[in-house]
Amino acid sequence: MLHHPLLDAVAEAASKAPPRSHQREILQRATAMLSELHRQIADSATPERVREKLRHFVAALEASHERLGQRMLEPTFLLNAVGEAMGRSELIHQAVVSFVQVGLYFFGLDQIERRWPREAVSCSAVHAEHLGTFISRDGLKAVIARAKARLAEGRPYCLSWHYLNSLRTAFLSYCRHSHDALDHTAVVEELDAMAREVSTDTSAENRMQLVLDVFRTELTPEQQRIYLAQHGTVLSGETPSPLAELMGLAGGDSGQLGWGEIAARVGLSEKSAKREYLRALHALLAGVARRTFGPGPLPVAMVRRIQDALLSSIREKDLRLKDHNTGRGMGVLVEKWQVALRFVLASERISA
Amino acid sequence: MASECDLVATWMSRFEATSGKSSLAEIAAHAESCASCQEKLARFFHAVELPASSYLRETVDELALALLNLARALIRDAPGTEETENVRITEDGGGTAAENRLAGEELIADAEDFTGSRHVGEVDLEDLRAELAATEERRTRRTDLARALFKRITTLACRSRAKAWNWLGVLHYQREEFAEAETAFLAALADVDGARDARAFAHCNLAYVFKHRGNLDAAVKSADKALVLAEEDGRDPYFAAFAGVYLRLARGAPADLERASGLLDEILRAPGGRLRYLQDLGLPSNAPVKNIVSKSSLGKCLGLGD
Repeated sequence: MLHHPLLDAVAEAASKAPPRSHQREILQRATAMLSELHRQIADSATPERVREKLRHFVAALEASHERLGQRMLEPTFLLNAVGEAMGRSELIHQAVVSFVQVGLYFFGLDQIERRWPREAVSCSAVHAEHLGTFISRDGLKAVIARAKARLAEGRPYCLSWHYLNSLRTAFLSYCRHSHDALDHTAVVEELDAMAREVSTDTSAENRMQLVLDVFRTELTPEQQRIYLAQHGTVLSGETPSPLAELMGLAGGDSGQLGWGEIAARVGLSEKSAKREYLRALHALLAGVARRTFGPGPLPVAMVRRIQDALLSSIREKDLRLKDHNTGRGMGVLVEKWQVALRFVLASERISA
Repeated sequence: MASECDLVATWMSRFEATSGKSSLAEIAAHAESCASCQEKLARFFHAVELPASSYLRETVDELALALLNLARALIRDAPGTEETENVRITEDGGGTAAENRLAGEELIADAEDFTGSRHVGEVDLEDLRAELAATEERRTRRTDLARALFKRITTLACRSRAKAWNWLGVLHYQREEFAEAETAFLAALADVDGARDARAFAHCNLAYVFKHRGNLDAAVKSADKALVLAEEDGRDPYFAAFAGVYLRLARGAPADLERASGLLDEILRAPGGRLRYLQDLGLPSNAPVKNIVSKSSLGKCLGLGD
C-alpha cells in the first residue's frame, strides 16, 4: 500500500473537523478527490497520457502542501491550491470538478454571509445558479486559461478570488435585470449609503443637479409647493436649504404640514392636493429616469412598475389610497417611489 | 406533509426583521432535521442538491458537432463522381475536414481527461480516435467514412443526433434504400433534443421517399409540413417549396396547379430565386422535376415550355 502524505493529512483533518461543518464537507470531498486520483494513477487501464497529467496535478498539490504546511488544509487555501494545480497540469477531471463545486459552494455561502449579509437571500440564489455556469465547459476552460496566464506571469492564481469576482458580477447583473421590486427594497440602506457617498463627489453633485433641474422644469408651481410642503422637514432648520433658496420657498410652504393645511394653502381640495402630489412624484421619477437611461421605455421593470402604480392611483376617481392592507396606501406608494428614485440615481454607480 | 416550522421562512425574510438573526450554519443544521424547512430551502434554491457539472455533456455535444461537421466536409469536398453529387448542403460553414478532425481529437482528449478512462458511456474513445485518423488516411470512400461518422453520432447523447439521422437518411436515399431512408428520417423526427434542427429537412426528404413509393398524398402532406416548419424554425424554406411545386404538379389534383404556382411565385420572388431554381432544375437528378414543370403551364413562365 503506497503512502500518500497529502491524502493522509487531508483525511485526518477531515476526521477532526467539526461534524456537519462546511470545513468537514470540503475536506471529505478533497479526500475523495485525492483517493480517486491516486487510484487512477495506479490503474493501468487509465490512458497513459491522462495518468501523466494526474501525476502532474498531484505533484503540484503536494508542492503547495510543502509550501503552505497545515494552512493548506483550510478550505480557501485548499481551493486555491487545487485551482493552481489545475492550471499547471491543464487538467479538468471529474473528481477535481466535484471537489471544486462543493468547495466553492460552501466557500461562496460563507463569503456571502460575511460580505453581503443583507443581500444574502437573493445573492445565495444567484450563487447556486452561477456555480453551475462556473463549472460548465466554458467556465472550466476559462479557469485553466486564466490560471495558466497568471502562472506564466509569475503571479499566483486564486480560484476563490476568481469565483468571488465572477459571482459579484453575476449578482450585480441580476440586480440590474431583476423584475422583483423586493430584491431592490432589500438594499434600501445600501442605496442610502450610496447616496450619501455620492453626494461628496462631482458626479453625485451632477445627479443632485439633475434632480433639482427636473424639479424646477418638469413640475408645475403648484406641484412644487405641495411637494415641498410634504417633504419640507428636510428643509427646516436654521441654515437655509439650497433647494428652498432655489425655489424661493424658504420659510414659506416648507415644513411638515397635514394634508388639510396643504390643501388650504394651495387652494385645492384635499383629494386634488394628494393627486397633484402623486403627479409630482411621477414627474420627478420619470424626468430623472429619462435623463439617466435616455428616452424610450424604462429599462428597469421595478421602476416601470412603480410608475404604473403611481399613474393608476392618479387616474382613480377616488384616489383610494387608504387601504394599507393592499399595499396601495399613500405611505407605501411613497416608500416604493423613494426606492425607485434612489435606484435610478444610483444606477450609474451600479453599472460602473 | 411535514409539520409547519417557520425558522427558514423567518431567516429568508430576516432583512425585514430587527433581531433574531441565525447564522447560515445553524439554519443548515436545523434544515437537516426539519422536513418543513428542508422543503422550503429546496423550493427556494430550486434544488438543494448541486447539479452535476455539465462539462462532460457539453464536451460530448461539441465532439458530436465536430464529427458532424467533419462528415459534412467530407461530403462537400468529395469528387463529383461519387454518390454525393446530388446532395445539397443547406447550411454554409462548419469548417474544413482538417479543422474538425483537430477539434475532434482535442475533444476526445478532454473527455478522456475528465473521466480518466478510454470509455465514455458505451463509446470507446480509442475507436473514435481511430475513426478520425481513418478520415485522414482516406483508404475508404468519403461517403462511407461520412456514413460511419453519422452512425457514430447517433450513438452519442447529443444535440446533433437528429441532424445525423437526417444525413444518414439522405445517404440511404441516394442509394435508393428507401426503407432505411424512411427509418432514418423518422428517427430524426423522433429525437427530442435536436428535432427542431432537422425536422423541416426530414419532412422534406420524407416527401421524396413517399413519392418514390407512389404515395403522392402523403408526399404533398409531408412537403407542406416541411414548409411550415422551415418558416417556424427559421430555416431556408426553398427546399420545401421546391418539393411542394414538384409533388403538386405530379399529383395533379384540382387545386394543385394553383398552389404550385403560388409556391413557385414565392421561390422566384426571393433574391436570386429564379437563377437558383433554374440551376437546380438543370441537375441530372432533377430531370423528372424539370420534365414535369416544363410540361405544365408553369414551364412557360420559366421559359421552359415547348
